[in-house]
Amino acid sequence: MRLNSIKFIATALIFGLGMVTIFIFSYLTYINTMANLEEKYHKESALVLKHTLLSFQNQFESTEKVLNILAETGELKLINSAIDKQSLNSLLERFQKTVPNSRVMQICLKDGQVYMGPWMQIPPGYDPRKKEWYIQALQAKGAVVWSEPYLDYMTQRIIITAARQFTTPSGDIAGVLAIDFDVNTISNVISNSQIGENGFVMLLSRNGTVIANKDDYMIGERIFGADFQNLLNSKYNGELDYTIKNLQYHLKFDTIRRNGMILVTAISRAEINDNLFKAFFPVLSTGIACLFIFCVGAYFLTLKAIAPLKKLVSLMKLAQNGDYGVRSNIKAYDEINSLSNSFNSMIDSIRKRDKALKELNSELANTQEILKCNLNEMEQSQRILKASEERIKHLAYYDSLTGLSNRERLIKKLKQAIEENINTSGAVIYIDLDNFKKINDTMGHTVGDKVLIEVARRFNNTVDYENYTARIGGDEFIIFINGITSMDTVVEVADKLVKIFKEPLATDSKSFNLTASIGVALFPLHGSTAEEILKKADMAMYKAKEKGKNCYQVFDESMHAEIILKVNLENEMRQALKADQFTLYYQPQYNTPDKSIYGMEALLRWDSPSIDQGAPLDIIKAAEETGMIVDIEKWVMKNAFTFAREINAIADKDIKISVNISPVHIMQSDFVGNVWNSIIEAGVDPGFIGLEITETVMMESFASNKKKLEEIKKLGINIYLDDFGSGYSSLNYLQNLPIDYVKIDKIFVDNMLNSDRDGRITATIVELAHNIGLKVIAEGVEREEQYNFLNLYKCDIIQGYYMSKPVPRGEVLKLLKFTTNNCLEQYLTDW
Amino acid sequence: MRNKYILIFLLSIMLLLWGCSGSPEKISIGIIPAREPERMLNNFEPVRAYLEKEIGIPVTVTVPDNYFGLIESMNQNKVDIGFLGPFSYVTAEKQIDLEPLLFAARKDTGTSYHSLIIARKDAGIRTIEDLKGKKFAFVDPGSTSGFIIPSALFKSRDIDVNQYFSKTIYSGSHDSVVMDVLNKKVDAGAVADMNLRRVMDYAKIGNEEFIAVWKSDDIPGSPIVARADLDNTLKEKFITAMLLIHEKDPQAIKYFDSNIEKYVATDKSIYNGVRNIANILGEEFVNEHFLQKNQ
Repeated sequence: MRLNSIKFIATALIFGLGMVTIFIFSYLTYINTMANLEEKYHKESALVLKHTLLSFQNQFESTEKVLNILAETGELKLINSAIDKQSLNSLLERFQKTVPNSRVMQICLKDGQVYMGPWMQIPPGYDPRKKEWYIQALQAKGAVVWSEPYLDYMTQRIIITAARQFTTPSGDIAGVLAIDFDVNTISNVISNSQIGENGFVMLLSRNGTVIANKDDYMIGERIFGADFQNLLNSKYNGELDYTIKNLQYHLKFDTIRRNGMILVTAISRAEINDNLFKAFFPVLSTGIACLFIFCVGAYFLTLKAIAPLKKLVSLMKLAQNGDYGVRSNIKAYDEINSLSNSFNSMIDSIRKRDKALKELNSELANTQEILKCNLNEMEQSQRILKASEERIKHLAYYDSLTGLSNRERLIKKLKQAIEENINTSGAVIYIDLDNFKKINDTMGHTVGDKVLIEVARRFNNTVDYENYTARIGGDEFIIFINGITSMDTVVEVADKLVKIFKEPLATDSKSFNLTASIGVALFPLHGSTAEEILKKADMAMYKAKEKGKNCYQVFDESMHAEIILKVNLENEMRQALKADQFTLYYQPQYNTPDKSIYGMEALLRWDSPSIDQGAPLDIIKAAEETGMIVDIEKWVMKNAFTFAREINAIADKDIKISVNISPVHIMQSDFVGNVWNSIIEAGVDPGFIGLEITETVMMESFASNKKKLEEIKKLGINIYLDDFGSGYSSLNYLQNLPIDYVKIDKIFVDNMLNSDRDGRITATIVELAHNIGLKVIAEGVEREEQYNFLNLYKCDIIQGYYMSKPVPRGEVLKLLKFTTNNCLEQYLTDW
Repeated sequence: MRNKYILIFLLSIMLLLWGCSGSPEKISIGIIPAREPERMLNNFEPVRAYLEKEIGIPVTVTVPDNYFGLIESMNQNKVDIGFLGPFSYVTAEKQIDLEPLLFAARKDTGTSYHSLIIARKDAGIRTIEDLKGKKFAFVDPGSTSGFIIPSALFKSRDIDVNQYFSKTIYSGSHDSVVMDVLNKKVDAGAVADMNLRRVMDYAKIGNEEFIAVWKSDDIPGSPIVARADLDNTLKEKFITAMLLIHEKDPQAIKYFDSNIEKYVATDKSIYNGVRNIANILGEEFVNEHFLQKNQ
């Protein structure tokens, strides 16, 4: 049973109420019974006291009366004169019988004689004069004295004695009369008086000594001790509670007026309590039994009463555990019914709420699902973004085609290596594929790309050292090797790189023979910055190309000097262009048969103090390399074309002016435009113009160059194939190129007279050119024999010192004088 | 919470049962040396064995030197049940809570006996007055018939013992008093009549040897006293056993004291007479001669 349950509370309530009732009831009964009992005992006690008091008073009165009478009898008065033992004894016998309970009466004379009646044996040693009562009686004159209990001389029993003096007729003390009482006998009187079971009646002497008691108990004892005198005080009013021998008593006492003895009645407290308990026990036990029955009854009644509640609780527990299908159909008391109805309504509400919650929940779940999807998508996007980022990062640092590093990454790594490893050495190997452009041009970019991929793969397989291989341009690669220990290592790597191109590169069943030019620069030997080293490797690579390609070249300082020179040259050329330091010389070309001027080749002259005049080829080369050639040639075309307009304006026959065009210029996309602009600018008839090209122009980008030349040709400009016979001298060129003139190289002209073979080749060339409709110009004709030979073999035009050296513009007129009229001369003088 | 209450309830029940069932494992009996201690032990042995059998727990017997020793032993819980004399009982009662259980009913004197003052017949002593100036023997200051009752006699006669006799001695036992008188160590002595008769029977002394100068009133027989706190069941068992000993084991009682017919129940009030005499003699007297003397 839990403490805070209705069962407990109800039972406890009944129990508590029952307890209180029983307590009050019991208390009242107790008080009542107690009062009754006490009253009964007190009454009894008072009665006994009164009765016994009267009885003792009577006895003592009669005793004293007897003693008084005896004292006045004649016999005693005469006792001294006429002693008759017999008569005395009979007197004593007669008188003693009148005193109830007395044991013996004695007459004690002054001289020690004692008379006790006829039957008493008096021991010889007995002398009453020593006794207390005798002495007291003598002093008490005519009054009766009562002794304390003492042991009898004769019987050794405990006795008390009442004594009185008697006198002679003359008034002298004759002796003492005494009556002995056995306390035993006195007690017997009292023993018949009952105060309950354990109560008692006691006779006390004036000094408080017990004289008589029920069953002779405590005789001779002074039970009150020192309290005795207080006991007699009036304040107790004859009643008090006192403990005797560890037992509690209620005492009543009274004094016997005659002799001052005290009579005490005692009620035993314990007895009263015992009786109280006896009377009270049935009441109490009945009460407790009732209480028990009430409690049990209350418990079960409560149990029955709260059964519907319990049922409701169990229903609620079901609901608590989630079963909202429960319904209460309890019918009991109004309160319970109301509770039951409320419960049902509550369950209904909960069910409604649950339904709503469920819907809400599913909505939430849907939302969550959607959110989850969104999250997934976001994560996906993030992944893609990350991948893109990676890719962008890769693109930023890697070549998309080959997967090698790109320029940025390489430079970064190189810088890093230089900065971090001050004490180590490294090498930068600059690789340029020779003639790769041709593959792109002929096979298309797709094939070119595949070749590049294959090349990259081979690079990766070749270099064992810590390296970064990068593709930095179309066909340019850089391998950066860090931590090399000796030059030999670098040479070994470079050798290997050259050799990997010995194997043909195979892609899609096609194979190509490719070579590479390789430049090597070392750090810190060749520079302390990445840019410097890269530049120097680049220089070395160009040097390798110059040396004939398919080889490697380690950078040395002479290359640098060369470059410096070139740079200076470029600057000076630029200056020269600005300052108009260039001049054009014209070398006439003559019709071979009649030695009349056919045309002129414009030749560039540069009067620069710093430039060695003997190296015009170097200058051209330098100009080509730096790209200055385009500007220079534009300048040349402008002046030469203007000159062509002017000279043809005054000349009586057409004079063709030809200029040399560098292959570099032709490669320029705006080459045709430049030419056309120059013509427009000069206002010249294109028919007076000739462009001299070399075979080398056709080595690269043959198709596009050919197309450009064809466009030039369509404009009406004449095209000369220069230096024929010095290079490949392919007949293919003669046939396919849109050329008008073939210029036989000076080497042939120089040797044709000495070598029969060269002579024949020259003749064949002329004949061949003629056969395909081309005119032939021989260069470097210096001697008459040469002229004759060329004339013999019908070479159309000759050029050279035999006829005229290149002359400045002013002298051209002089040459023309020989062939033109005065008008021309006039004009030239003015100009 | 509930368990706690149950626990407390059980504990109190157990405590109650334990309190009730605390019965002693043995019982100790003390007897006064009416004779030599060894003989007392030997004579009592059949009774002891009988009691052990009847009560069902070990019974031990001790024989202290004197009455005072026995009272002390009971006071110190060393002795549960003592064979006291009437006077030693009423004296001990002032210190210890005691309960008289039984006393002997004798074949010749019944439940009471008497104190005698005996003298050799040839000594010429016939009255108390004749004892003046003679040598006198008491039994023991704790003895009723051997000291207290004779003292009451001397008191009633206003006799100061120390002045009246030429010499007084305590012989230690009734038998010794008899022997001391017989052997003329003293002229007269106080002795219980039952003891005198037994000694005379035992020692084959003829009636002609002694003369009783004085005989007291009836004295209630010596009580067998138990400490009041002794287990009630045990007390009952002991009382029952002793009440039936004359039927169940007459030999045992005969061997102990052939004069005893049987044991009968007694109560406190029977000894009121002795108490009263002690009262009259006064507390001082008792203390002087009995209690203080032995301390």
